[in-house]
Amino acid sequence: MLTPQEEIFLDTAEWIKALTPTQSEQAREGISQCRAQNNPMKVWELLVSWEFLNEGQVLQINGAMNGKIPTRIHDAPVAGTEGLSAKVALIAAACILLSAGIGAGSWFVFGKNHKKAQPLPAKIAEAGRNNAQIEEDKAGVSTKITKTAATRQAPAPSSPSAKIDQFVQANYKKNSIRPNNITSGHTFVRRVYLNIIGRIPTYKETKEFLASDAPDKRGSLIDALLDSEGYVLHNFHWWSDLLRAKTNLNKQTPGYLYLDWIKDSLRENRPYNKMVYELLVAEGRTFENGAAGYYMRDQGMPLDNMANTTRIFLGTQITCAQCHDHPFDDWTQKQFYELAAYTFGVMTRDSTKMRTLKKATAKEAPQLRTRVQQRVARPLSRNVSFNPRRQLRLPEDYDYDDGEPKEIVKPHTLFGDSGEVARGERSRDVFAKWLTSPENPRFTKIIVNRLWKKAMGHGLFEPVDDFKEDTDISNPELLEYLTALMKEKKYDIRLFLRAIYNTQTYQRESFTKDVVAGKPFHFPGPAIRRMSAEQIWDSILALSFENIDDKKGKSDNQRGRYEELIQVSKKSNREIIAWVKETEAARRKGKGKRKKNVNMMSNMDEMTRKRLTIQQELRKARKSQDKKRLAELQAEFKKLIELKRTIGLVRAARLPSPAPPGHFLRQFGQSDREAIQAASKAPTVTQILSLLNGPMFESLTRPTSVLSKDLAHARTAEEKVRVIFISLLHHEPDPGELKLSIPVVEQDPKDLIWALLNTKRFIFVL
Amino acid sequence: MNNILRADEPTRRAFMENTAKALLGVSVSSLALPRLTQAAPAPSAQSVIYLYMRGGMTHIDSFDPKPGSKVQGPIEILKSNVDGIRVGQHLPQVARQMDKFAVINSMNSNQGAHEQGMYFTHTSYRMRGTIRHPSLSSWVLRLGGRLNLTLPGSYVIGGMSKHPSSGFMGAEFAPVPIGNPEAGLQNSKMHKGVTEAKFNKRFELSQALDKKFKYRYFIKEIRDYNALYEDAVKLMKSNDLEAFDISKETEATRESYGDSAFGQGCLLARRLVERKARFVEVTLNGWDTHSDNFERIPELMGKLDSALSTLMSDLASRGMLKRTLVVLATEFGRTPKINDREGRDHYPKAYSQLIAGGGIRGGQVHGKTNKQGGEVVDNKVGVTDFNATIVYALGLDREKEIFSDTGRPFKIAARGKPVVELF
Repeated sequence: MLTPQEEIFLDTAEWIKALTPTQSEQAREGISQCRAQNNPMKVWELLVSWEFLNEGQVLQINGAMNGKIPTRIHDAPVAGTEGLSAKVALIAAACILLSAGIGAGSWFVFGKNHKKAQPLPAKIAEAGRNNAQIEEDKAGVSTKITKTAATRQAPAPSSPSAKIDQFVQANYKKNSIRPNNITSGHTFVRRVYLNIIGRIPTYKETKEFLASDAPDKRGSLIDALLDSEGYVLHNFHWWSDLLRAKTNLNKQTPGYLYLDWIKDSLRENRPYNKMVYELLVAEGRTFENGAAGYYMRDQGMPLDNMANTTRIFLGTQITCAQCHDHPFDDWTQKQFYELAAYTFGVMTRDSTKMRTLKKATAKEAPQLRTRVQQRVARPLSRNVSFNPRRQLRLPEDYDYDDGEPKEIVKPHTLFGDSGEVARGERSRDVFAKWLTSPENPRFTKIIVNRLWKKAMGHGLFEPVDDFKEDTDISNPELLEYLTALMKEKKYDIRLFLRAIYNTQTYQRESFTKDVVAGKPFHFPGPAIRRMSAEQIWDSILALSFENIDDKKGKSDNQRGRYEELIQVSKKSNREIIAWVKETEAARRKGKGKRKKNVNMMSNMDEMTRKRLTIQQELRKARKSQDKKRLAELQAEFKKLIELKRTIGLVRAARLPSPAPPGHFLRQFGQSDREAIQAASKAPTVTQILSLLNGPMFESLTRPTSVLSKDLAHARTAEEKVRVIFISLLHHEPDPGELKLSIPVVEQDPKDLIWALLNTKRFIFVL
Repeated sequence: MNNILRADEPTRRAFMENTAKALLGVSVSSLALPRLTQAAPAPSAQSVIYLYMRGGMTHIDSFDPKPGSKVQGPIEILKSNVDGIRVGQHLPQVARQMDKFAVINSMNSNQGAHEQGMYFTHTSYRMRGTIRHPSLSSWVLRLGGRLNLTLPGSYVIGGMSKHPSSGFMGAEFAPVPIGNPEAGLQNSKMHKGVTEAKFNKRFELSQALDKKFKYRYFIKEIRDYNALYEDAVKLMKSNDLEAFDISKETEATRESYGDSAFGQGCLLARRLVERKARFVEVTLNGWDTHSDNFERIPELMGKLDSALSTLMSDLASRGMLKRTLVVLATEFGRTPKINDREGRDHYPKAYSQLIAGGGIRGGQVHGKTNKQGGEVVDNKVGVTDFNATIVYALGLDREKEIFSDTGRPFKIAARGKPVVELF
């Protein structure tokens, strides 16, 4: 007579024979590891760490347990290659549970942080704090149990998050979609760091989250991340891609204040409608008012600018109608011109200074004339202003019946309110009000869909910037709710994102297949995505430098750069010329170089100076054979070199934007900011060469790197393996992975770091 | 590949003829396309070496000299090895190779600013605020594919900044930037101290640890990455990688290309094309000679002279000239009038470019400017026409429409018409 436990093992042994050698090896390994844990909680932890089971999942040890394999996880049959491993895990788990005295017909809910703890059988209570929950004999109620498990994660029923879930779930039913499981804490922590602050969590941050017993630790983490500087640094890219914002907007038109304006808006959490309004009515020079960058970006191209405006903020493509009636949409060329008429009075040039200064320098040497123009007149001429008298006319070749060539066009909106310009009103202001009004039929809809896509990887309609009357919306009720929610939250982007990130929908496991273009997607979980170029860069740096979010870079503190020019611009022409003469003369002498402000440039200068001083001192010390001093200086020198080498190694948002061609960021598809949302995630050989052989590897394996320091605390090879896995992939190695990795790490931990850096798993967000 | 593409040429011609007959009641063959309908043209290019003179190369001081005119300035004029073709004094070596080039002295553009001009020259489309067009190199890669599946298909050597790159076509068609021709392909060598055995061990480990993920997520992007990882490793181990190592050349060869980044870049271009790269662009910066034109020209032209002449003789002696199209392009010419700083300013209205190899008849001049070099008076060639000629030489389909991400159709050389007389 065999005990039930032994029967299971017998059965398992038979079953294992049917597997391929590798599978059976894995299976045996898995079972033996589970058996080695004489404690249900430990088994649970193992299973979760292998991601065979997730928090909140239900294991049914069904009635026919005696001698049979349990066949269900979370009421979902396990299948495929994964299924095999999962089955193995289940068997092992069942063995342990049985040995712990949990009988057939039981439900065992895996999970931590159960608030409503049921009375536990003595053995389990002993084993693991307040972590397991057993409900006896709820036969035939798998759905109910599933729900019990699920509500553990669920937000309060009246919260926006719960409402969003309800709309999504209604769609599951309608379309017979089986939602994915809620993610494990491991997957969640990686995803939420990447999605909200744009980098992977460090080992410490990961461990802290996983170990936390806080009641709503996921919600708390979401809040903390939304409030952090990391949120600013990550979302900056999303905005710059959308607005095509650059460090240099154009020759003589610096864009750094525009970039700062984006960052400030995010930091202050300026409401979305307010941000857009500010851009559309901005005036001045880009080195005085950052928001002026919006019109300045399309300097001298008011029609293109309007086409961009409608695409970005109204998700409406009228570019084609710029030259002819839109071929597949209803827009006519006339409508395009009527819309463009609102902002046609926006001027991006003011040549007054260029003219007067040209006159004033007529008798000066040609060299000086050029200098005055280059250094003062031209930058000052890049000025956004509004001229209400400037009127738009239909083009010379206008070819339709609804207007004459060169006829003056009166402003008129595309949809919604007609946007009448009353006497004394500026058409540009009327336009800005119409566009950003909650009543505008597209303004809110477009941003909520964009933000939904940002979180979930796919829009409720696609493409996000080509909305038409007949566009398919995968869940119209949800879109309507989100639109209402955005208005209710007064366009507070953080609150809105917070609602999405707290949904179960967001916290489910990723969809494991391609989202098919042109087919509605119903979000059984978020779509899987490759990290953006910036996320990859920032993540590698997070493994390399402590407090990477605070490490300052070249694009910080640029504000003062034009201070002198702003002062000079207020002076008379004669004074301006005198100033140019004086500074030019000083420049030629090589003395009194134009004082650079506290930016990286001056840091670098300072560094060079420091390097030279140390080298001088070194020579002296060598001569005098002062060994102690020599050692000191050498150490200092080394530090300096190190600092110099890592000067460009700051978060992408702190580098010039976009990075120059050939930069790591550009290799991985950072947008060149020439077209709207032009970032690319297409794989290229140069990217791969960069991960295989590039210098970033060195930065994360330096002895002072975050990763190296974390590794220094690990004593055994196995611990080291775990640190490396958690640091890069944020999951515990499974038995097979451990077995492969331990001997490698015993020889050289770098091999494993390199190997994981080059897994696809590393560059994808699950 | 080429044959297939070429095969549709007569079909298209037939189509055009029929359309023209139907619409105009005339036969196209009697009007336009004289060469097309007569003897078969001989475009035979597979690869392009595209030498880009950044800043706007002065045409009067290079390939369109104006003897006896005030605009000529102090630059003397040299006879070349072809009767009737003359060049500026700082191109003596190129002068001896003129039998290989077709000089186009009737280039005409309407883009007078650097960025816009460079954009137009590279993409055949005007720069707009609403779209980013792909450069010709990306088009060639997209329509023609790679000829060597181990190496990337296109490169820009020195001077990637402001290059339109692959525009809306995305990173997979983007040229690979090479900053320094002597440094080779970025990151193609293993980390210091990593042996091939160690690399292999790491790579196998990486593959093994990624297995679970690979099976679980059936995502095209992931599969593409996996495939490309294999390509990258294949590239690292391939003999083709030698192409990037110009130190493999003799000292004499390296010297004759000239001791400049441009010269060594041309040498690298030749090595890459030898290994069947599709499109290699090499940039020579510094042509924006608003002041002191005549002081700056000798150095610039010196670099160009040794590099270009050596490139041509090198290609010819290796029998590569037939399948390699060599192009010398710039965004615009420079004013015939010499300004008060002894310089020349931007001048898109009339300028010169070169084209050679790939079936082009050498030793000819196409088009003409007036006595002052300021107006095209004969056979005007637009930027898109010039690009269409490159496409024609490659035998690619000029009518093929590719849609941008916003759903708008574009063609490789826009509406340009090839100058078929050059072949």
